[in-house]
Amino acid sequence: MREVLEFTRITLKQSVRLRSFYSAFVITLVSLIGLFVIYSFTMFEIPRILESYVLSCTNLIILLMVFLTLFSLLQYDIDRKTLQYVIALPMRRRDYIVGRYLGIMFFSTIIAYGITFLFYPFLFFLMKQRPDAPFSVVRYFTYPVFLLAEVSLIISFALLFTALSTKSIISILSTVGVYFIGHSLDEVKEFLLGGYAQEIPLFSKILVKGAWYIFPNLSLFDVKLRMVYNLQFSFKEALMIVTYGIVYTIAVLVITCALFERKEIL
Amino acid sequence: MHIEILSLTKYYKTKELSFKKFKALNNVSLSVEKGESFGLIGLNGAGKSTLIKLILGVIFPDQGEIRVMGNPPGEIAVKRNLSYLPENPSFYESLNAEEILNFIGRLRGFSGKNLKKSVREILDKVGLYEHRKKLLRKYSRGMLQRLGLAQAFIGKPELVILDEPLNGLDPLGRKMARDLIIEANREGSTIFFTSHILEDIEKICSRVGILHRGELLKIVEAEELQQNPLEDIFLGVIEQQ
Repeated sequence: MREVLEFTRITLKQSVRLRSFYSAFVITLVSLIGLFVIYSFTMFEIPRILESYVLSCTNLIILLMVFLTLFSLLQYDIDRKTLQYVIALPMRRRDYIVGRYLGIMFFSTIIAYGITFLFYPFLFFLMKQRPDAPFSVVRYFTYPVFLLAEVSLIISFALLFTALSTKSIISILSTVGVYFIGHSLDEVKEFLLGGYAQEIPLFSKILVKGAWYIFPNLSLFDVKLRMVYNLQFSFKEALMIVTYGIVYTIAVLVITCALFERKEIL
Repeated sequence: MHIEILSLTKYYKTKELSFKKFKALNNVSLSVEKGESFGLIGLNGAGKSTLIKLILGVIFPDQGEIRVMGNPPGEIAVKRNLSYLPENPSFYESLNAEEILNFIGRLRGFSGKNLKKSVREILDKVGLYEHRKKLLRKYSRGMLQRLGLAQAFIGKPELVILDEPLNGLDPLGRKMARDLIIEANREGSTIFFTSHILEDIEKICSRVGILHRGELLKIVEAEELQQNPLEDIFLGVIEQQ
């Protein structure tokens, strides 16, 4: 456990010192200015538009940061062959996987809640101008939890592809692929298997169904609109979504550790 | 026996997606005693780094067996008593020397004042104490090599594996590195050392293996090493091939 914590600490330090971390800060400030610009230009549905804008910005910045961080760290490990050296250190191979995962996860949590807290006073101030707005503080601060559940899956898939490939670009592109498939799979399945389309070859149906079981359903974590428009969203359902993310992440990490144990680090 | 290698053979793929393979190591057997300073020499591409990677458990043999301190390579019990300096050390650039050494020191079981003392001592020895807070991306090649030596010797590991440890060092740095290796060996650490600079090997090692095209052609014992220059022995063996 000590080895995992040490490597988590190293990963966190590396992530915070990446140049992309400062870019995230700049993008957040620009987004903050955008909030006031949108407020001054919008005439109708102001609270919903503002809240939607803030949640979208949080979503975009976190995902951008996670992909940039993963790319930088994995590129270093794989392409510069630092991994050979790290694997020879007094820690187990699985400590590397779990330490990297926890480090990037902590980093993402810091950024997600950092942005959420940074936006809050401004959003609160603007919302106060419209007392009829259905703005819920609890709902607002719960949003990053869903985002982080999705990020958790993305990180675990990036590590899985690291255990499978010998080039960082392959791991990252495969992870981006999983992200897009994960977000579109639900709609594709609904379209092809829900009776909207006609004459679908059996092979396509099996393919879509198979993919639906294999790939994570990332659209589940996209709760932005449901939150902004106050759609029915029970605690049980929220818990199920987060649990799905956690269980899926654990499964992917277990497979990754098993594969990484036998990987030759060339 | 600290390292025991029996009939080791390793193939590599010629290309990533190819089925063609070439033999990087062919039926290599050797043993290194505890407290010994063993040197491995060979031309570029002889298989020195491959042999080191196999000893570290970073790659796996196709045939044969390796035991390091009585255990299979890569086991945590082995790694706690083993340190390694890669040929071209590429440490995490966004960290500084003190953080790297603290990290490795903690992995070797040090903490608190002991860790602080060990880090300070080794940084002093390699002449990096003043630069300990500087991020590694600002380090020169020689400074990285010095840090590589520092991380290899922190905590006095039982077995130290050095892949071309004197690369990139200036004459003063080379002397410092040689002294560090000899001192560690005198204090009981086993040294496994590769280099293609024969002079360094002669000064540091008590026994030398000559590796050529994946085959261990000869092991030069201490007496022979004292009687003849290593260069003559090496060239004689290589020219016979």
